[in-house]
Order: sequence, then C-alpha cells, then structure tokens
Amino acid sequence: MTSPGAHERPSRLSAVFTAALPLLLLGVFAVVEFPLCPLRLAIGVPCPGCGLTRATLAGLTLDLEGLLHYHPLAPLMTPLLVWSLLKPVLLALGWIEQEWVDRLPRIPQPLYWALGAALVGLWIARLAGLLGGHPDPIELTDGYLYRAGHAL
Amino acid sequence: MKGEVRNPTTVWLLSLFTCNLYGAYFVYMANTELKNYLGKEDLNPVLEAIIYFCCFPFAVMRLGANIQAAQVKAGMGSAENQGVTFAIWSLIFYLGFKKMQEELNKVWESGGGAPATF
Repeated sequence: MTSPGAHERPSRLSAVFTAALPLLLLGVFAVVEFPLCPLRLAIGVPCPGCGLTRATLAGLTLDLEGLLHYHPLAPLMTPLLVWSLLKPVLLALGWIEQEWVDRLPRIPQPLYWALGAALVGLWIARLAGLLGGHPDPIELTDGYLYRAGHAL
Repeated sequence: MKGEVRNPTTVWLLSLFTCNLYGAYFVYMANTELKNYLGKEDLNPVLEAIIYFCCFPFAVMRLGANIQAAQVKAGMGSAENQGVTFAIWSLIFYLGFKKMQEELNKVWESGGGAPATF
C-alpha cells in the first residue's frame, strides 16, 4: 500500500526538474564554455548582453572598474535575470508561494521599456567605440555566415 | 484573442538578416499574443525581450513552455514543450524562430487566427 504523498513526489520532482531545466542547461553550457550568443556565432558581433556574466563576477569581487568595463548595466540586469531564472524553481520547490510573489511590488512597465532601450543604446554606442568601446572584439570573419559564404 | 498567422520562413529570414533585432521583436510579439491568449497577467513581453538579449536560450525556453500551454489550450493534447529544441535550433542559422512560428501557427490556425500581414 503506497503512502498518501507517494504520487505527489514524482509529479513535484517533475515540476522542479522542468522549472530547473533551463538553469541546468545554462550551467552545462557555461562549464563547457559553449558559445550562447547567436549574434556572435552568426556574424562575429557581440550582442547587447555580452559581458554581463563577467561584469557580475567583477562586481561580486568588488572590481567596479571591471564591472563598468564589461557591462555597466549589470547591477540592474543581473538581479532581474537571476530572479527570472530562480522564481520558477523556487515556486516548484514550494520554497515560496505564488501569493507571496503576487504581493511583491511591481516594476512599472515604462521602466522595463527604459531598461530595454538602455541595453540596446549602450550596445550600439559601445560598438561605435563610445563609452570605452565593447570589451569583446568584433570579428566578422569568425561568424558562420561569413565562413559559409567563404566556403561557397 | 488569437495571434497572427505568419510565414515561418519570413520570420526566420528576418531574424537572420536583422542581426537578431527582429528576433527580440519576435519574442516580444509572440509573448504579447500568448499573454492575451492564455490570460497570463504575470507574463511581461518587454521583460522577455530584455531577457532574450541577455540570455537568449532562457527566453526561448520560456517561450517554448508558453507555446506548449497555448497548444494545450487550443486542444492539441499531445503538445510538447519544445523550448530546448527551439533554443538549440536558434543557434543554427536562427532556425529556431522558424520552428517557433510554425508551432504558433498551429495554435492560431486551430480556430480563426488573424490573417498574416506577411
């Protein structure tokens, strides 16, 4: 005779696994240093998010110069991303309740738009050599589109 | 409210030739349509587009989960979460966008989606 919670455990584990799958995959990709930037892969140009991880690590070691060099928006973007990544996992684990999440103050929508505009604007400015330039080089010949065209 | 039926090949080519900018716009558009269709008030399309720029596989995987939810709502009981598939294909010539639009079209065509504008 099975215990009352026996049926709940597999479905809860399944929910946790499903929620954590993106995080696990990203972790695997990070460990094996698999390139995750589709823009860089395609045309050798870094994307608006390139440098965030390095900036975050620099910030955690109080290297403010490094943080600003790699990605000045990291102090805003990283908490937002970490919360987005962890929230589904914490909810699936039951460590936080949806009612508690719903009671959290909401970031006004115009601020999200402003953040998106700042992200793209910073990217364009740094690619143009402004604001200290982009920490990652632009290597057009590294992209697979160039290499595919070159092979043809 | 259903979304727009689009030509998947056009979505793919636009993502490929606009240096990923159309890709971010697609993530925003698709999430807006899914938010309206699923009634998910906590789904923020602007945030999803921002996440796409910073961590594109994560944004695409979340979109895959929402597409699955929409397919289930549309009566496709065998719908699978193809988020990982979409993310991997997106790394290969942005083909994931073609696949995502194909799956979205299945939802919108299942009962009166808006006509395609392209």
